[in-house]
Amino acid sequence: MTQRGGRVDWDRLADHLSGAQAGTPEEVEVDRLVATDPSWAQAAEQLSVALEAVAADLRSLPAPAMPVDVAARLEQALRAAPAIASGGAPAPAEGPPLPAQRAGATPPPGRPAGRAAGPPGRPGARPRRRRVARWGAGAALAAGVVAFGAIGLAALSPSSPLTIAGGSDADRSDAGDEPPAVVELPSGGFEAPLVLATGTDYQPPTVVTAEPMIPTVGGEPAPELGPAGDRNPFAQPPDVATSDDRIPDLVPGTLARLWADPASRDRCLELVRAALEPAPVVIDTVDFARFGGVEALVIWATAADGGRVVWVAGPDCGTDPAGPDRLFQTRG
Amino acid sequence: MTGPGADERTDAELLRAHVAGEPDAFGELFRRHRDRLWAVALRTLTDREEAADALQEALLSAHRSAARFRGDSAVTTWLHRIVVNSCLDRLRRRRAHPTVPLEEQPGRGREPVAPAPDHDTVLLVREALARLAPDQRTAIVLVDLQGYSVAEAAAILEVAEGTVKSRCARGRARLAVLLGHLAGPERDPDLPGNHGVAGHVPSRSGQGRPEGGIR
Repeated sequence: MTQRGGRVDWDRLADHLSGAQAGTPEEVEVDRLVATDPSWAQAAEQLSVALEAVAADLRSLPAPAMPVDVAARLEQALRAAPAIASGGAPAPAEGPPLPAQRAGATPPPGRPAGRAAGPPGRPGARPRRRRVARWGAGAALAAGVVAFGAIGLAALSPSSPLTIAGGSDADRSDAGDEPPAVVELPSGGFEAPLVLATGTDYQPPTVVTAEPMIPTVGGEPAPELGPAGDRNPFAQPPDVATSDDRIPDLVPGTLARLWADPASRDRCLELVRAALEPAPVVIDTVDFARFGGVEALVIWATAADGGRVVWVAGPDCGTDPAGPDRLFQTRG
Repeated sequence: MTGPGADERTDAELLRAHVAGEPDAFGELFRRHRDRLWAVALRTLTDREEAADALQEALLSAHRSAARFRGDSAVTTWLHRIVVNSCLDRLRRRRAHPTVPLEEQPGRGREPVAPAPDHDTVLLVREALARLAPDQRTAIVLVDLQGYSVAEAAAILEVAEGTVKSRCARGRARLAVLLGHLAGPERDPDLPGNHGVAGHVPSRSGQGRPEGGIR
């Protein structure tokens, strides 16, 4: 945009004065306008003076320090947040040993006791969803819920991208001398989601906060279970799926393909991931369940901005032309 | 560690310790940067409770996703990016329901701040900042108020440096109108902030407060 009927383009002039046009043809053009057009010259002078006054005004703003109550609230929230387990071993945990272990899985050294509400915050705030090291925490899933973490998937499908991306304790311990804490995932990779089959019938208004939960490995009380209801996740050993298992009864019939074929499931999840934003999106939990009475894959994910998103996919997810086969999508 | 402030590890070392499972490593990181993170959140959202919510959401997100930190930028840049994104997300969600900045609401406690030489000016500037487009406001908060370089702000916002410069420049120009430093803008629809509206310039005494249509 150039001078229009003698009018000054103030945004353009502001860009010019800030140096945003430096080295561009636009800089030369605005220089020319200021030099040859009295209205531009006058505007440039006015704006320069005004910007100095604005700078002084901005400098007059005192820096806010975090209020004590906010600091205390955030400290408490961080203390209550589950420890992450990554870079080799699950986070330390307290309490008695797990009653059962999954084949191939490295169990956490202990288990939390009881259940607890989410981390503290404002009254009425929804509990924070927690992400867990799937390779270790898969050992402690709700009774009656057939669950597969990365290890479980590895047993089913050693070549699954989920397994490769998520890695295992053994994989991570082979990282050599590199600090294990900051893990750089392969380009385009993603952590393996927790894959469940609960058969729960989720409803639109509550699906965001209904993500199935598994106990923490961080030595803290387990968060409330979602669709698993009041069942004590430690009441009996969790079901263990192997490659010889039949498709569990809890897996809705139309979703059997996605359950039994890891490649199809991975394709589905990749398409869902690509459809969600802001990227990159990490899929946290996948439940072979129902949504509003319809058999569906209910997927919880964390977007790049930390927001919680839910995608409900139909049985054709991952196929053409259904793609991610969206039945419902919402954001928490 | 022997107490608050005694930890001499770098931010990256603290983050690695957190990922490795060290209790309170992330808490130390938080305490180290909390005032700056708070200032960004509060100045971007202009509402105390929203800022606290956004910061909590961002910190918990950073806490749980720390293992995905790639080390491509400084830890503080990464933290600020998460906080800014959380704030911008809230701004997008509330755009249809604008709120009054905290400082203007009666009955709400004021933030603990250093003594201000001119309270009226402070209020006017805060009000004008709150009227900027979120992208411009965030850029100005980072560069002009928080003191980040253009390059650092660009890294936090994940945009080009020229974009940051332009957002700051246009935002400052709009502030110049809103704060009454540019004369006669009501006669020039091309002035920043006057697009499609009959602009009003607030005087420093508070008269002639800007009306709607700035954003």
